[in-house]
Amino acid sequence: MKIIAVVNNKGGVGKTTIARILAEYFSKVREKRVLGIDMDPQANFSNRFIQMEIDEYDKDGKVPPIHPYYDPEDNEDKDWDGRSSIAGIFFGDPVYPYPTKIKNFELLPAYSSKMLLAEAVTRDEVIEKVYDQLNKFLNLADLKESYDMIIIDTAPSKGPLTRSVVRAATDILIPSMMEPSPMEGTQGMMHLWKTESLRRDNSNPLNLIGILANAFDKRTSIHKDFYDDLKKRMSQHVLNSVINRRIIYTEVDSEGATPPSIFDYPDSNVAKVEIIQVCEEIESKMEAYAHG
Amino acid sequence: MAKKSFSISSNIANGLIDSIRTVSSHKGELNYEMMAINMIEPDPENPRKLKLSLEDIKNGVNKLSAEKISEFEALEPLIDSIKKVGVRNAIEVYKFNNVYRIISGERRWLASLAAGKEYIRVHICDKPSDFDLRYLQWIENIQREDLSLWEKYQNLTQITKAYKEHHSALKAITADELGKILGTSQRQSYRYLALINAEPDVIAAVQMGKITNIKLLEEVTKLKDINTRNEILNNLEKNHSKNKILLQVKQAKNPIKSKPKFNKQGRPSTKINLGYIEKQSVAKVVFDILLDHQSLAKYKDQFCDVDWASIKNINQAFKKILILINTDVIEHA
Repeated sequence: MKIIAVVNNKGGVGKTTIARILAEYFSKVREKRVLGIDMDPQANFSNRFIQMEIDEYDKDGKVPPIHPYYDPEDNEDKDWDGRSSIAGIFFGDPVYPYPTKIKNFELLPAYSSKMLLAEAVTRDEVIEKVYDQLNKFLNLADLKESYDMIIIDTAPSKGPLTRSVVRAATDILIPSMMEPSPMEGTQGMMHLWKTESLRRDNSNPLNLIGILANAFDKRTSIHKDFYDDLKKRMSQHVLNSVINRRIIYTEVDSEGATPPSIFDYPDSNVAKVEIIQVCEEIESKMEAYAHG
Repeated sequence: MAKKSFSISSNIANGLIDSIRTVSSHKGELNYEMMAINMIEPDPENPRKLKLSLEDIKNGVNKLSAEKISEFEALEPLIDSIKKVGVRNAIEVYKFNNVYRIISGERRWLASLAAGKEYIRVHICDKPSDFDLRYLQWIENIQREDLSLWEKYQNLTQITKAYKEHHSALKAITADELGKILGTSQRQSYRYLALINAEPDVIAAVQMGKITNIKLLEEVTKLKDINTRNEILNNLEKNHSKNKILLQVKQAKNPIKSKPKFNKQGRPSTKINLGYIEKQSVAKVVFDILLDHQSLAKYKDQFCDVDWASIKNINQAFKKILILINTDVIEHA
């Protein structure tokens, strides 16, 4: 089972878009059993696949909808309020993935207020528990047997939630725009990758898939110059394929869009061609790591 | 207008490259974690056995023996600081079956438990070889003043045993090698070597706590006669002062006999010392007698300006004339 973390502590660099693309690619195109996890309290990733609800106690926050398998009459569900999220792992609540419209793809959504609580812990021992909790959860035997691939979207921060993702991941992908402040976020994530790699057992490395240039405009000299500079300095860790700036990615992200996924477009669509290329490069990078 | 061009800020670029280099060269080296205290156990083969155990701490201090209470009291400052700020330096552990064993940090671990902590910061290491393990524990232990001589002995025998297994060609360990392993001075290495090689009766005395001082031990091991050793060891039991015992040992080593025989020592003499004179006037008399001798009269001119008040001048004159006599005599012979 592979666990891909999509990370960058700068917001708006395309983490959610890319996490979504990867989830769809592996489930729809590669027909693997995929679990998506939304570790961002903003819950945007969740909202792409299931209808999140406004938290009645915190109008800024989102809560997952009532789980389709929840049965208030059933004695087994009597201690459960019917909503399930990845935040449950920090509070000992039941964690049941939601089915989505995509075959083979299930989702563990965010729960804003609960995740913000976990993000805010400060005591040493509690922080360490938060760091480790996702790792423990993803190591559960039945979970490992149920999925081939786990895709995790993260919050734009370096807080405990992101740390827990980095600790649990087998591979990390850092999307970034080729612009100064996303590059700072990229550096922050590379640092996190470094600390985690030093901490890890050598039998269980954290593989850096690389930096993925997003919203790229090859006519803009700063994009091109940054990309070339990065490629020159650390070619191994920068993906050859890039995602160009195109309106179609925004369109498929809007609610009720038809077709609902980039992968539902005809094979000749330039955006689809580009995305398939990116996904294939990511996949081959991961395989190269897996085979030493 | 010139074409615009951009590059990544050098700070960011350096940060990125540093991350890549560090990971490629030091992956896995800093395996730090917070670990549940009950996942950790002390190493039963660590020769410095704390008398206090996990159970003692769990069962409460008031049930402890006097010995354990004093150990607990020594631990209290550490417990206080752990209550306030936790354990700042991670203890070192390695995986052993389903638990983790302590390489270093047994006191910090026990004190954390006593401070009511459930977790402790650990550095997870690969399981060290026997030699490395004893070595690391030795390093940890050697810095502790409260390590008894007996504990040192156990530590040493294990470390030397492991060292020999490591270097199979080695028959017996030398003080030099011991110094290299332990990083001790030559003097101290010799003492440790004496401890390792001590006779069983001496070791028994160490175990019973009769000998607690390594200098004394070294002296005792120099007594080759078992009866003499016995006598000294018995006196030790009577709690004589350390100095008195040391004196006894020294006497036993070099017994004062009623008629000490003159024992010629040192290298055989090859030169004749002509002795010393304190007064310049006497020197002048001796010199004049020499020059009056017929065979030396020819040198008289060479010594007419000697300053007979200057000792330095007189010495030079004697030196010179002795050389001249020497050459003359050898030539004639």
